[in-house]
This record gives sequence, structure tokens and C-alpha cells, in this order.
Amino acid sequence: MGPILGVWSPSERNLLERVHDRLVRTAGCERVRYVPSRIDANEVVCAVDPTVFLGRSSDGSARLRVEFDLTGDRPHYWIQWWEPELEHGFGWHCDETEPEYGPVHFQVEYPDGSTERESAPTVEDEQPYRTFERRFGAIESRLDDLDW
Amino acid sequence: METWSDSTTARERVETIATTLSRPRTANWVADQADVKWDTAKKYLDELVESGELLVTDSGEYVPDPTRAYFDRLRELILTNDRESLRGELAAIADRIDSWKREYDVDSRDELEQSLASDLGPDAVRDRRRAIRRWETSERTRETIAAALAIYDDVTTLTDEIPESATLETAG
Repeated sequence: MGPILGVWSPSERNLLERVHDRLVRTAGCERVRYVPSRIDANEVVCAVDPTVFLGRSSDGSARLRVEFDLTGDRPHYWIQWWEPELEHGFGWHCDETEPEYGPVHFQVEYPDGSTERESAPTVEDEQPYRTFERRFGAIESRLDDLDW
Repeated sequence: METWSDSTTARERVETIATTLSRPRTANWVADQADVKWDTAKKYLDELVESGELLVTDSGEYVPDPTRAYFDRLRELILTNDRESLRGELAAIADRIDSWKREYDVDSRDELEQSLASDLGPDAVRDRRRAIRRWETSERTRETIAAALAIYDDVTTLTDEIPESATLETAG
């Protein structure tokens, strides 16, 4: 899925802008910003107040990072939730680094530095923004399932 | 948290999917992804074609017009940044590229790509692939900023005679 109809594909930038706008509109998502900068954006990052975001009491704070790569044969993405005070987090990684888990793996990182991975369900031929919405909407249930 | 369908209109969802496509897609496919009916998707896609956001291929598939997106990007860079900010971003990009060169002990992005063929662990490969991707984005941004600076005066002159305009300042 390389560049088409010209030398410059706007899709990645547009995706980040849509994600940025979505996070800005979501209660509990604060200080939404592009990294490394608004003009030269590679990812969107925000601080999350879990109590507001989840609508129930929660300890500490969280950060969310979203990144896409559309330059290869199929879209790649990384959507990561991290709780700095508790030093644990999780994320969906769609890349070729852990082929034994299939095209997308769900990765949990624990305070002791250990990491657990499992295959994540995927939808063939899904639009990356749609994927983002699906993963974003699944954060709460994954938090409920995790036994940190 | 509100779901996507709860928090957006059908039109917003179609627009979001259609303007972030990286290859041409049918109205049927967009309808499925945007969670709307086919005729709803078709109506909004045709409106986006009419406004110049999308192109239609010979086979009737829709795709963002890359030339429109490119010029929109130039327009946004020029109308929402002064020259100093754009030059500052060029300096920041140069710093970022220098730091990748130092970190990976390479002279170019090509050389960093070639290093992937060497015997590296999975973490190192992931880390280098990410750096290559970011490097590539920064190079593209640098070219776009240079293009924006080259026409900066001409474009801002066009707006000099127009009183303060929120539309211009937000650059669409």
C-alpha cells in the first residue's frame, strides 16, 4: 500500500489529525499533543484522567500513545496505554516483530519489567481509523480483565 | 465513554474514513467501515468529490486527492505559522536527524536501513524500524516546509488586503 496517484500520500497525517480531534473531544483525555511536534507529527499522545475517562474511581494517571505506519504492504499501528505511577501498561501492536502471535499482538508490561504477549483478534481489511476506534473503545474492558 | 457511532454523525464518519484512505475504495466498503448505509455513504462521498477532497477512479472507487491534500498542507503551514516558527521546525528536524546519526552511528537513513540486514535482536530491529520511519517523516516534513517557505511571501501577500479573517487564520 505505497504512495498512489502522486508522490505524497496524506493518509498518515490525516489519520493522526482525526485521532487528535477524537481524543480532544473525549472526557478524561487531557493535554492531547503531537509528537515530536505538531508540524512533524509521528504520533499522538495524551494524558488520561482514568476516573473521568472510565467513569469510575481509579488510581493514578495514565498516558495513551497512538501511532500509524502506512508505508508497507499493509497498515501497521501501535496503541499503548501506560500508567506511570504503577509502572505497568498494555498495548496493541500491529507489526512484524512478533510473528508467532499473528498480525497483531496484545502486550502487557508489568512493574518487574516482564512482558506478556498474546494474539489479538483482528479484522481483515479494516480501515486504520476504524481499528483505532475499536481498540480505543476496548481499553476499559481490557483494564477490567487485567490482573496487574 | 461514548462509542464512535454515538459521538459522531454519519457524515463525520464517512468523511473520517474517506479522507484517511491510503488506496481507492468502493462506496460499499466505506459504508461498512463508517457504519452507515450504502446510499448514505455514496451521498457524502459524492459531496466530498464535488468539494475536491476526493477523486473517483475509473472503476468508481474513492480516494483522497493527494494534490489537494498537499496544497492544503502548504496553506495550513503558511497561514498558521510565521516564518520563524517554520525555520525553527527545520532546525529541530536537523537536530533530530543528527541525534539519529549519532545514536546509530550512521551517516544516512539508507545506511540505517542497511543495518537491518545485520544480526540484530528483535528489540533492536523494532527500535531501528521506528527510527527509520520517523526519519522518513521528518525528511518529508522538511521538504514540505521548504516548499511553504518558498511561496510564503506570495501567499501572505494575497491575504494582505483582506481584513482579519478567522477562516484564513484557521486554514481550513
